[in-house]
Amino acid sequence: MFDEIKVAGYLAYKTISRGRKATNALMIFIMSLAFINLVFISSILNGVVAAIDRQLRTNFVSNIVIEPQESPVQKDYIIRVRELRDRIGQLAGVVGTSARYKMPGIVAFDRRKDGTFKRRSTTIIGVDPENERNFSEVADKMIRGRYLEGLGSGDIILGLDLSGGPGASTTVDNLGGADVGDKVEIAFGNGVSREYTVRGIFRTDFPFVDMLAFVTQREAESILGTYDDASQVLVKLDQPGGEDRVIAEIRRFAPNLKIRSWTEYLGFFSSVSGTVGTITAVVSGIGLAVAAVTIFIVIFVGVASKRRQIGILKAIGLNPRIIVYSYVLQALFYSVCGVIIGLAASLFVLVPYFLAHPLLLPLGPITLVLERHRVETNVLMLLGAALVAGFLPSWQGARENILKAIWGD
Amino acid sequence: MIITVDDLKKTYAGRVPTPALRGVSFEVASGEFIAVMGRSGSGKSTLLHQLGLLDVPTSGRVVIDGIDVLALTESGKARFRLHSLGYVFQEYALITELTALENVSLPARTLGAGRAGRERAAELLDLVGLQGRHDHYPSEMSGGEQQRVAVARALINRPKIVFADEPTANLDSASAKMVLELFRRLNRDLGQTIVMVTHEPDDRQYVNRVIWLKDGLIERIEAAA
Repeated sequence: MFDEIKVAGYLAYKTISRGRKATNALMIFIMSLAFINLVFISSILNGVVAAIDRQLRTNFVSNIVIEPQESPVQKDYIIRVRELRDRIGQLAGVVGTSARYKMPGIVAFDRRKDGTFKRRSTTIIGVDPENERNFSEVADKMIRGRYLEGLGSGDIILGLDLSGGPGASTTVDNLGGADVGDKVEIAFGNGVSREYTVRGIFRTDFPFVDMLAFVTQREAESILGTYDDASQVLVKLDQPGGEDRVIAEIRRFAPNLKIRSWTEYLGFFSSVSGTVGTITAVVSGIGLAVAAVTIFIVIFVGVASKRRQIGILKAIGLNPRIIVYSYVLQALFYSVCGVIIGLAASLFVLVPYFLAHPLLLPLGPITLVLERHRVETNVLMLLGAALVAGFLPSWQGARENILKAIWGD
Repeated sequence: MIITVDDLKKTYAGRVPTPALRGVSFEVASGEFIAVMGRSGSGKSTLLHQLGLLDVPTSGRVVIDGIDVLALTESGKARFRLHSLGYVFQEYALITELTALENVSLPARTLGAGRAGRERAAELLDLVGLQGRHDHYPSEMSGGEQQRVAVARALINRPKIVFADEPTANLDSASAKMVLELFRRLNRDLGQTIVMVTHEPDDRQYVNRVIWLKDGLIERIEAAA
């Protein structure tokens, strides 16, 4: 068998090296495109999932979300939050915690100062401004005005999609252009109403955050009449994946609290990720089928044009296996070259290009995310397709009657 | 006897089955140079294809060097062709991507003879008068030169029999004469058994015996002059 493969390799080498350079280049080019097609779509979709995950973890929920107990008695707030945060902060893998108040309310803005208010319901978040820097990008994403640090009662910052104005989403209703210095009125869910001065507008490019408003923790406590409580405690880990372990440890000293990982908390987004994963698998499957058919056609045409040669090789005594191996090796050669060039183009051209020029979607900037295991799978699948595509037509050709092959029908 | 053919029949299947050989029997002794002659459609090439294991007869028996070759498997037939038979086609049938030397040495390479195969291939190319043409590709050679490469390739594995199917049909008279002289020399000097199909009556001068076919049957077997 080894001797047969050696002869097959020799024939494949001679066929390729003596073949037309343009034909070889075209074959390799087609293989490269097939590979890039396979990798590109899945990378973009992976990029979408990664963007969702990053935005959610960075700006919305961090790694773990703790909420007030639901049983045996439903509570509105988590109590003695400082003590809770101190204990959580001592757990391995935890890099920080954030206590938040979440207050439903209706924001009203009279843009023309004529008594005509535009109202928008939203959630107002009360945070410790300094600590919040570790939990969201809001402080770094101020497009006008300033962040909450140093601000006090009567000050508020708004997300762009809530305030409205240039660059705001056109698909959601907003306040019609509230800007820095404008006054807004908020009617909170507990019946308290207050007037605020807009101190800043932020834009994270994540719609769920850009529709929020932020006030200081102290202001939230004055509205709610609470102290050292929180609607929500977020826990940030040094790296994703350790959520279950940390949750188990928190449950030991806070058994009644509702503690969930970010994926559990955002079940909807988990299903989005899952759906995108399914789409990726389907698109990859179709891409693979297209690649396999392309390779098959290219090899088939090659075998068909070498029909007489196959007949001659058989006539002089070469075992048909050698002929099949020879074409399979040729198919593998073209595929390996295609994979190498396609991978190089993906890694050194497409990925850097999309890093420099990401696709700007409402979810945020989307770049190509090449996952190693997916790339390896694609490489193996493409080579497998090449094996089959090289084997079938050559096996068919090698089985043909020698005289028919040499002289034609 | 190196070849024993017994009641060999070949009918081409189709809407109307066409009998090409209708019961042919003869023997060839080792070291003979045989010509198979007859009019077009007499079954000459069909006979050679059956003997050379390039096709499967409808019935009959072919024994070559004591082996009932029709009983071999496809893989066994390929091995037998490689080890024991040489074949020269009408249209040279060289591999276009290989040089003359590579074409000739390919069957030897398949048997695992690397350097020795190349050395013998070089000797054979010299023997057929192609010194200095070893590294030329088929497209760089004349028809006569290509046919001599094909002859050298047929001899590379020291076959028991060389089958030649109208080897001079596509050659000019000078090249044809050169190839036939080469066959005669191989037969006389090396004792090579050769079975050649030809339609040229003048080719009788090169062979020991002529088997005349007519309508798929042996019309007569005559000793050459």
